Amino acid sequence: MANVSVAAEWQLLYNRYYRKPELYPMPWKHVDLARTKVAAAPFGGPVAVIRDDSKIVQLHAESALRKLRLFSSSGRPLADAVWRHPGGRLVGMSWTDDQTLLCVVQDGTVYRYDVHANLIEPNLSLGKECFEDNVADCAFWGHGLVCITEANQLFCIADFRNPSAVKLADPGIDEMPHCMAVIEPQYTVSGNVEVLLGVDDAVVLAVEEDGVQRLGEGLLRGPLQKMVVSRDGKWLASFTHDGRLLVTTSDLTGVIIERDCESALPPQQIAWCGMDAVLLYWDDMLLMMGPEGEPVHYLFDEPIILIPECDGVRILSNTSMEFLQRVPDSTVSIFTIGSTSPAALLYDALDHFDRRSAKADENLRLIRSSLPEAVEACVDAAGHEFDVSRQQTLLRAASYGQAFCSNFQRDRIQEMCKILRVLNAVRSPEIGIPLSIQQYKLLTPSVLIGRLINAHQHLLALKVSEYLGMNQEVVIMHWACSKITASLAIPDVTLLEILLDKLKLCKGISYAAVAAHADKNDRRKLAALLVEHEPRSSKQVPLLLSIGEEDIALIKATECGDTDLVYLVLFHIWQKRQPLEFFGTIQARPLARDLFVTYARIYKHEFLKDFFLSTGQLQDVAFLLWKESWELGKNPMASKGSPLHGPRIKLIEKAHGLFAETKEHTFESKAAEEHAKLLRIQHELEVTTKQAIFVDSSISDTIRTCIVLGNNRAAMKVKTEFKVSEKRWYWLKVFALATIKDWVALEKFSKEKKPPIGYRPFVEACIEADEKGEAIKYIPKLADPRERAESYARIGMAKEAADAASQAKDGELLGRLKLTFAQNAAASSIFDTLRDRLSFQGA
Amino acid sequence: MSFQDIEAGRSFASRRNLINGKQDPTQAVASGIFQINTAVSTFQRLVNTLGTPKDTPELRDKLHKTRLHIGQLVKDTSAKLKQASEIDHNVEVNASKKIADAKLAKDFQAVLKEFQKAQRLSAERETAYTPFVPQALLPSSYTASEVDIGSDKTPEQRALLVESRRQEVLFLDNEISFNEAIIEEREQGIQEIQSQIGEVNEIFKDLAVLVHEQGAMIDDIGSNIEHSHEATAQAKSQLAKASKTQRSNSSLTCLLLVIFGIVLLIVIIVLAA
Repeated sequence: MANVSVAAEWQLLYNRYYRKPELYPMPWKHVDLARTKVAAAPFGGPVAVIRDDSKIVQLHAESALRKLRLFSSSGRPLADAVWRHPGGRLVGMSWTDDQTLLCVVQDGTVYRYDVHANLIEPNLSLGKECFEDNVADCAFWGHGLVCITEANQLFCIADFRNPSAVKLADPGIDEMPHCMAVIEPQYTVSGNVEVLLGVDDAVVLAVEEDGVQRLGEGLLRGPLQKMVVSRDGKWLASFTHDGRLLVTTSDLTGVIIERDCESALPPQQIAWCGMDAVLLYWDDMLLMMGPEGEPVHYLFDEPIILIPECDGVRILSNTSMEFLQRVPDSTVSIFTIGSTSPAALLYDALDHFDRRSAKADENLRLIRSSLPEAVEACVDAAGHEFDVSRQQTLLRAASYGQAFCSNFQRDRIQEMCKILRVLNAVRSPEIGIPLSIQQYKLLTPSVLIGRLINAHQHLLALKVSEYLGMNQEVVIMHWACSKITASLAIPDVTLLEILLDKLKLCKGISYAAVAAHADKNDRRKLAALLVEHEPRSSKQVPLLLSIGEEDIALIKATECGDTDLVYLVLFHIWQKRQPLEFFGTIQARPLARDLFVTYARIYKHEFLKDFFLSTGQLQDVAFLLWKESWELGKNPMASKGSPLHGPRIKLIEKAHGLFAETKEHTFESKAAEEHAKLLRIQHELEVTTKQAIFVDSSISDTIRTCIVLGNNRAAMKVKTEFKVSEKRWYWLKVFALATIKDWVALEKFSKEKKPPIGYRPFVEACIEADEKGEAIKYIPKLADPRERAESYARIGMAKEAADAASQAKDGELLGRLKLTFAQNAAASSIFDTLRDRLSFQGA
Repeated sequence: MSFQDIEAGRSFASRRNLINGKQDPTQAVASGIFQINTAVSTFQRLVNTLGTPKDTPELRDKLHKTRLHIGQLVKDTSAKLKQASEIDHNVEVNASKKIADAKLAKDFQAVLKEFQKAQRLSAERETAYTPFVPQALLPSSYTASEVDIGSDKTPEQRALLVESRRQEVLFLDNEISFNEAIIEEREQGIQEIQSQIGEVNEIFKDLAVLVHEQGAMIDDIGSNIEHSHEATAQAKSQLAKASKTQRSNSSLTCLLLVIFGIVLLIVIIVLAA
C-alpha cells in the first residue's frame, strides 16, 4: 500500500516523474511574500526578508522603519536588524557562497550582513557613476554582482573576497533593457563575467569588460522579456514578447525548444529546476516545462518564491517550504506503478517478509542474479528520500537483500546510514537546513560544518564532525571564542571552568587561540588562566608575552628548556622594562641569566657591565674592562701609541679598583695594577726613544730592549720598579750584551762581582755569537770540569777538552768527545790513550 | 525527457522507449493506474477541505467530477488489465510479463483501496457538513422576508425542500459510487479466486504427471526385486553343489592314506622274509 502512496504525489512530464515534497510548514508570523523582498541562499541556506519599499502597502501596527529579518529555511527566526541605511531604494539583495547577505541600494552602496544580521564594515561602493546615475537593477552569482544604472552603464564586482568595482563595456543602448542575466566567470570562455541584456531589438547583447557582442540575430523574432541562465551556464531560458518560452544555448546559436505558454504576460519568475526543467510562475500558477510533452501545472493560492538549487527548486510560500525535483531514477524503479525492476521486487520481498508470506522467498529467487543491483538501488533511493520512515524501510530492504548477496560492498549501507543521519539532523526544524543528498555531496561535509559553526550550532557541528571522523578542534575553538564574546557577565573563574569542560574534549587542542581571543575581548586574567593549560610552550610563551605576563612566560620558557623561547622572552622583557627591573627579573632564573650573559658577552658589553654592577658581580665587570682594554690595543691606531694610551690605562686602573673592592681577587688586583704601571713605563720609553716597540711586550722583553738600545738607566729603573730578581737580571743582560756584541761591557759586567748564575750564561752567549776568543775568557772560570770539557769541545779545542775530561775522570764523556773529534786523527789517539788509562785504573 | 537528458545525449533512447510504451498493454495499464493514483491523491486533498471555510458548492461539484473521473479511469484500466491477463493466459510463455501483470494487479488493488477509503471519508464529511453559503444570498433572503410575512413561510419551506432534495440526490449519488466500487472490488475478488483456482488446477495437473512418473519408477522396482529373487534361488543351488563337492574330496584323501599304509605293510613283510 505504501508503494502507491509514494507514486501518488508524482507528476508526469512526458516520461519523467517530478515530485514536490513539503520540507517544512513555515511557522513564521507577519510575513507576506507579496509585499516583501526576499533573498534565499542555496543549499538550504537562510532566508532574508524585508518590506519592499517599491510597493505601496498598508502598515498594520508596524513601525515605519523597515526591519531586515533573517530566518532559517524552516522559518525559524535567526536575527533581525533595523534598516536605517541612506542611499535610496533597496535595489537587490542576495546571499554569497560564504553566506554573506549583499544589499545594493540606489546610490551604489553595497551593505553586507552576516548570518546574525551584523553589519560587516566597511561598506562597498560601486563607484561615482553609480552614485550619480542611480542603480536600476542588479544580478548576482555565487561571489559577485553586476548592476546597471539608469544611464544604462554596467558595473561589476567580480569577487567579494577581493572586492573592487569594474566598469564593463558600454552597451550603447538608449532605453532600459527588458531583462538582464549573468553568466558566471567560471562558465564563460574568456573567464570573465558576461552579462546578457534583452533589448528592444530582436537581439541579446553580451557585454564583457572589453567589448559588446550581439547574439541571436536572425534567431529571435522579437525582444525577450525575461531571461535566466542554467546552473552550468550552457542553456538560456527566456520568455519572448509574444508569450513563448524559448530555450537556447547560452550563446544563442541554437534553439532547443520553443513553446507557447498560456499567457502573453511575462512571468513573475523563471527558474531552472536543477538541469531538468524550466519553471515559470505567474500570479497563481506555476508551469513546469520540459523539452517534450505537455507542461505540468501547479496551482498556488498564495504568492511563492522560487529558489534554484543544483538538483531542483525550492518553493517558498507564506505557509510552507517545498522542494520540487525530478524523481531520482532509483526511486522511479522502486515505486513506479507496476514496476518489476529488481529493486521493486526486493522492496516487495521485504513487505512480504514482514507479513510472514512465502512470496518473499519467491521474489528473491526471481531477482537472485540482479540482487547487487537491487540493493544498490534501494540504498540510493533511501539517500534521496526526505521522509525518515521511508528511508528506514528502504534501508531495511537493502539490508534484507544484502543478506542473500555474497559480493556486495558491505560498507555501502553503513556509509549511507551515516550520510542520512547527518542530513536528518540538519533537516530538523530547529536547524533548518533542508539539504538533499546531492546538495550535501556538492557542498562537502566540511563546508556544512563550517556553516553550522557560523550559525552557532556548535553542538550539532561537534557531533557531526565527531560522527564523520573529522577534526573537532575547529568547532570547539569557535565555540569557546563565541562563549567568551557572549559571556561578559560571567566571572573569569566560572567561565574558565565552563571553557575547560569543553576544551578537554579535544586532545591536543590549542588553548593559545582561545586565550588570544579572550585577551582581545579585554579578559586578560581569563586569558592568563587559559594559557596555563596550553600544552605547547612554543605557542604558550608568545601568547603570555602578548598579554603582558612576562614573568610567567619566562618561567614557562625556562621549564621547557628551549633556548630560543628563553631568548624570545628575554628580548621582549629587555625592550619593555627598565634595565634595573630587567636585571632583577633574570637574576632569579639561572638559565635565563646565563643565556643572557652569553649573548651579552658577544654583542652588548655596556649592558652586561650594567648588569654585573647591579647584581654586585664586580669581578666580572673588572674582567670585562680588562678585556676591553685588550680590544683597544688591537686597534690599528694603537700602533701609533699616543691616542689610545690614556683610555687603556684608565680602563685597567678601573679594573684594578674593582678587583681591589673584592677580598677574593687580590692576585687579579695586583696584576692589573702592575699591568697599568708597565703600560705607562712602556709608553714613556716609546716617547723617549721614538720607537713603537715597547707596548704590550713583557717585562723581560722590555728590559732586554732597553739594554739593546744602550739605555741602561731605563733598564735599571724597570728592574727596580718591578723587583726583578738578580738572577733574572743577569740572564737578561748577558744575552742582551751578546746580541749587540758589546764584549767589553760584558767582561766588565762579569767582573763587577761574582755572578749569581755562574759563568755558564756568559759562555753560552759567546758561543751563540760565534766568538771563540771571548768564550775562552770565561771557560776556565766554570766550576764544573765536565762543563768545561763540553764547552771546549764546542769551540773545537780538543786538547783542552781532553784535559778537562781527564780531570773529571769520566770515561763516558771521553768516548762522546772522541766521537765529536772523529775526523781529527791526532785528537782521536789522545782520547784513546786517556780512555785506556781510565780503563786500567778501573780494573 | 528533461534538459539534462538532452545534454547527456539520450534523446534517441527515449524515443525508442516511447514507441515501445505505446505498443505494450502492460504499460498502458501502468499509465492508467498512475493516473488513477494521482487523481485519488487530488481527491483526497479535496476531501480534506470539507468542513473548512473553503467548503463551497463549487468544491463539492469539483469533488463529484473528480469522483466520476476516477470511476471512468478505473473502468478503463480494469478493462486493460483483463486484456493483459487474457494475453498472459493465452501466451503463457513470458514469465517476467506475468510477474509484471501480477504486480500491476496488486498495485491496482491498493489504489482502489485508497479510493474506497477516500470515498468513505468523503461521504461522512459530506453528510456531516453543509457547504459554506456565500453572503450574497443572505441579504436577498432577508429582503424577501421583509417584503411579505405571509409568504415568508413558503420560500423557507421551498428552500428546505430543495435542500432536502439536493441532499437526497447527493446521498444517492454517493451510494451509487460506493456500490459501484464495492461491485468492482467483488469482481476483483472473484477474478482473484478464479486465478487461484486456475493455479490449483495447474498444481493438480503437475501432481498427476508426477504420480504417473513415479508409477513407472515403482514398476521398475518390482521387476528388480523379482530378478534378485531368481538370482538368490540360483545361488542356493550352486551352494548345495559346492557343499557336496567339498565332502567328496575329503573321503578321497582318507582312502589314499589307507592304500598307502597297506602298500607299506606289504613291502615290510617282503623285506623281512
